[in-house]
Order: sequence, then structure tokens, then C-alpha cells
Amino acid sequence: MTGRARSHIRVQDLRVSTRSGDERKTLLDIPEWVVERGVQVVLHGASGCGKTTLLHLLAGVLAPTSGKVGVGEFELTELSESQRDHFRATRVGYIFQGLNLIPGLTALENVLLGAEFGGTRTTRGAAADMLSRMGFDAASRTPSERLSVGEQQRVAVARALVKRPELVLADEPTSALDRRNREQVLDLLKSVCGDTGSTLVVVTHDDWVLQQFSVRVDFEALNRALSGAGDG
Amino acid sequence: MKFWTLLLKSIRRRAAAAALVVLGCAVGVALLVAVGSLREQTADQFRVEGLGVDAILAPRGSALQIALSSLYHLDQPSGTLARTEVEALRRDPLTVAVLPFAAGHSYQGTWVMAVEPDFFSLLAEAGPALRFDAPQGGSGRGFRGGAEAVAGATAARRLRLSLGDRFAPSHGLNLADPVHDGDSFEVVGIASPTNTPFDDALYIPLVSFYALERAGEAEQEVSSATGERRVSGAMVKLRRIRGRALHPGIQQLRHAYLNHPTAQLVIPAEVMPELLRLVGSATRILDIVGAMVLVLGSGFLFAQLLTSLYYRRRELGLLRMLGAGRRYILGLVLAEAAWVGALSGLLGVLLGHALIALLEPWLLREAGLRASWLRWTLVDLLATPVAVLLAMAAGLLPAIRAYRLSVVENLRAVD
Repeated sequence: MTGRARSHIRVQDLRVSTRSGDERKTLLDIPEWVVERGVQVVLHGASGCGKTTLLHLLAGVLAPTSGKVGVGEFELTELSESQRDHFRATRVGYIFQGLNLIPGLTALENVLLGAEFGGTRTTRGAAADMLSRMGFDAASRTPSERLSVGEQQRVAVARALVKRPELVLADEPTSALDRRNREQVLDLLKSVCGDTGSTLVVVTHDDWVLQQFSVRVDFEALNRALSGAGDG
Repeated sequence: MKFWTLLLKSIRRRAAAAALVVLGCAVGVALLVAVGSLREQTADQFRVEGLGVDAILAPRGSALQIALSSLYHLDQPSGTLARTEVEALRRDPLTVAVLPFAAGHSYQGTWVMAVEPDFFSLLAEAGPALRFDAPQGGSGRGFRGGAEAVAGATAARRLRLSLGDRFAPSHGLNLADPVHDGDSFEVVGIASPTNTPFDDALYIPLVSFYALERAGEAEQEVSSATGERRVSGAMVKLRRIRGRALHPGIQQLRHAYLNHPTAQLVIPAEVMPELLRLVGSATRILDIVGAMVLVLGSGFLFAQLLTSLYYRRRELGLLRMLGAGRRYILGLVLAEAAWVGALSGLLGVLLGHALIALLEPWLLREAGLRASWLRWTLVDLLATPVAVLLAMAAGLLPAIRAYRLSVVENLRAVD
């Protein structure tokens, strides 16, 4: 197996900059970062250090100023926007810190939406199974906005995983939860990703979450823009 | 999870705002539908073609009033005319038939027209055929005189009159007018429907009418005094030339009556279009009001979509994150507008017809217009597509804005 075949996430010479007037500010500067397929990795660092921006790049909703981002057989920087939409719909599960669900829809409808745009429909049965695995009653007709934060987050995990994506990106998935819910959600996320062989990238600044992963990446060391090493 | 499920759930979350917009647009559509239907029904009711009456000999007065009362049983007869004037016109070689009539009596709000026995056969020669044979929907026969009467098809149906039934006319055209209790008429014929105002009247012999006027006087006595009798007017059928055009001598005949001291010749084909023009102006104003309400409703829709877009940024950002393309988002907002338009159109059509149903008694009482809420027009057919197009036009800018929304910008509301 070649290095490219084994590596799932490939970041090379990545730069993301913004311009404000004459001033150009570099947000991300990552010379190289590789994650192998099926690995569960946690990125930790202070708030505002660019972790979410990197997740957006990996999800294909943001294009870098320069450099390359690859996931599996896709070179995201070479894809058109609609191709990146399709990539996201079929290959990526994304979990936010909170406010993850579409209001007005039930938990089951939200989970079904997770597989809506990839072209391959997930059956209600599969969505209900995933919800059950999250300890949630799939028959509940309660609109998602009336669920507790912990319930919402478990539904969000179910939605991210229902299409069995090859890459799961979780941005501070437990920061809005109490201890009990935090443990439950993270356990479920790691367990299902382990079962499906999905690569999991979790972003956090929570030490407890950090301790739950064996592969930890100090984002402040990874991103040279923070140390100023890559400027100039 | 279907596109339409997502759409309907999204609308349901903003049900109150959506309902207000739908109601606003529906009121505009309802006005257009009601006005369109009433305009057509007015035009139909006052159409001149097919009545078989080229002119009306009448006492001097308003030409419109004469046409309305003589042909459409509306307004009041403008006075009376000596029978000798009718006889004089009958002698004119330009006339084919002169059919005298006397109005001024009614039965339960329906006009009772007094005419001569040959009225039906002469009218049928070039106009509506008020026949009594069963295949055409008629029954019985024409009256021969005395206390016999004929009912037009509409009048018979509305008054539930059958052959052999009797009725006593009121002296006057209002429901509260005194009834000729001692003088009742037996229905001996119900005429076939002609879809003309002639269907909506009762007919009694002219000679019996005079007897009503002079209660107790022998019919023969009344009949013999024709020279002293007066009529409300006479419907005139004129000679035609090749191609069914009126004889050019009609102008000379008209001029002859211009300086007549008591009589005039009214040409309905000239008078009624003027009435329809007046009605048309009024309905055009209502059309404009309806259109303005509809446009205003679309403005509300535009504002509502634009405002909701601000609150939906998170939702739209999530959809994009789940893999929905820009066109999906554009379609979602446009489809929401289209759905609101479709609902407004359909509700507006129903409201429009309900409005006519509500106005029916008032229109009959105040304007003599027999409007039916069941009458469908082209406006009904076009209302919903036009409402949808208008709503989509209102939704276009919000949809384009939604299309252009940056995923990352919208997700900041999530993070």
C-alpha cells in the first residue's frame, strides 16, 4: 500500500489569508499534515486559533489561498464548488458545537436529511436504527428545537453518521453539554466511527476530551501562522 | 426527506406570517375574480344581440331607462304612449312587426308584461323563440286571452310555477305593492328557455291588463276602446336588406321621431354599449384596486421572505453543510414563494366566488343583476398561475440572496 493510499487527509503547503485594506493577515499556514484512514484524531488549541477554519477546508466549504487539501481520492482544491458539495454530501459527516438541527423537523427527519443530498437515499429504518443506537426514540414527533441540548447533539451525531461517511468532522461537539451527556456523545461518536472505519477529526479546547484520544495534535504547533514562523 | 416536506415544514414554522401574506394576496385575487365574473355576467345580461328587437317605440325620456325597462325588466317604465302611436308605426313600410307591451305589474318581484297573443310567434321570427313544445323545454301553449298567462323559463323555475297554477299580480314593481286579489291568472304555457331576459318575466294578455286597470269592466268593452288605450311602449322589428343589415331607411325613421312631441325611437344596439362602457369603467377601477392589493400582498411576501432569510441563515448554512447545492437553496426559497402564490390564487378564487354569493341578493335588489357565484371565467383559470408568477417574482431577489449566501458566513451563526 502506498503512502497516498494509506493517508486519508493530506494537507500540503496550506495557506489561508485575509486582506483588510493594505494589511494581509495569515490565518493558517500548515506546511504538511497527514492523517491515515480510520484514525481518530483530536486537534486541540486555544479558541480562535484556526481549528474551525481547517475543518471548513476539509469539508470543502472553504478554499485555501494557496496549497493543497486532499481527502481520500479527492483533491478538494481542484474540485468545482458543486463537486465539493457532492463530496460533502457523500463523504463527510459534520457536527457542530450546538444548534445543529433544522428547526421544525423531527429527530428522524433531521437524520434523514443527513443522507438527502448524496443521491443515495437512506431508508427510514436505517435512520431509526442510528437514532436508537444514540439512545433516542425514533418515533418521537417532537420538533428538534424542543429537544434538550444533549438530545440535539445525539441526533446531530446520528445525522452525521447515518450515511456512513468516510470522514467525520466534529467541531467542539461536547462543549455545550453537561458531563453525563458529554461522555455519552463522545463515546457514541468514537464507537460508531470505529465500527464504520470512518476517519474522525475532533476539534476541542477541552482537556477532558483531549484525554479521550490517543492521537492528539497540538494545533498551535501545527499552524505556523500562530508562531509567526511561516511569515515572510 | 423530500424537498417538498422540507419546504412545507419551513412554511409551517412561520405559519402566522405566511397566513397573513396568503390572505393579503388572496383578497387581491378574490377582487379580480369577482369583478371578472360580474363583468362577464353583466355583459351577458345586457347583451343586445339575439333579442330580435331592433328598436323600441317609447314615450320621450331617458333612452337607457327605456331600454333597461323594456328589454331587461330593470328600472321603471318611463311613462305611457297612446296606442295610436303603435298603430301609426305599424303602417310604416320599414317595420316588420310592432309588438306593444305594458309594464307596471309584477308577481313576487318578477315583472308581469302585458303583450298581445301574437307576441311570441312574431318575436320568434328573428329573435328568441319562446316556444311551448316539449323538445325545446317548453310546455302548454300561448295564451288566447282572458285570465291566461305564460311564464318565461327562468321566472317559472324561480317562482315554482307549473301549468294550471294561478297567480295574482301586484299593481306595481315592488314586493310591497298592492295585489289584485280578485284577478288571478292561470299559467297555460311555460316557454322554452332562450337565455335572454325574455325568460325572466310573466306574460299576460294586453287586453286583460286593461281590465286590471279598470277593475270590473267587461273585457269586450275594454277591447273595443283600443283608441283610448295606452301602452308602455312597443318592441319593433325592422325590415332587413340583403346580408341581414337594417334597411337604410331606419335613419329617416329615427329623424322623423326626433321632433315627435310624445314618442321616440330608441335603438338598443346604440344605448346598451354605452351602459356597458359605464359598467366597464367601474369594473376597471375595481380591477385596479384588486391588482394593487395583489401587488401589495406580493410586497409583503417579498419583505417576509427577505426578513425570514436573516433568521434562516443558520438553517440554510446547515443545509449547505449537509451537501445541498446553491441551486437547491435557490429552489427552496423560490418554491416557498410559489407555494404561497398558489395558495393565494386558489384561496382567492374561492373567496371571489364566495363574495359573489354574498353579493347576489344585493346586486339583484340594487342593480337588477342576476349574478351567479357558479359562473367561471378566464380570470379563474389565470388567477393561480398569475399569483404564482407574481409571488415568484417577489421571491426572486430573496432567492438570489439565499443563493449567494456564503456557507462559512452563515455557519458563524452556528459556531
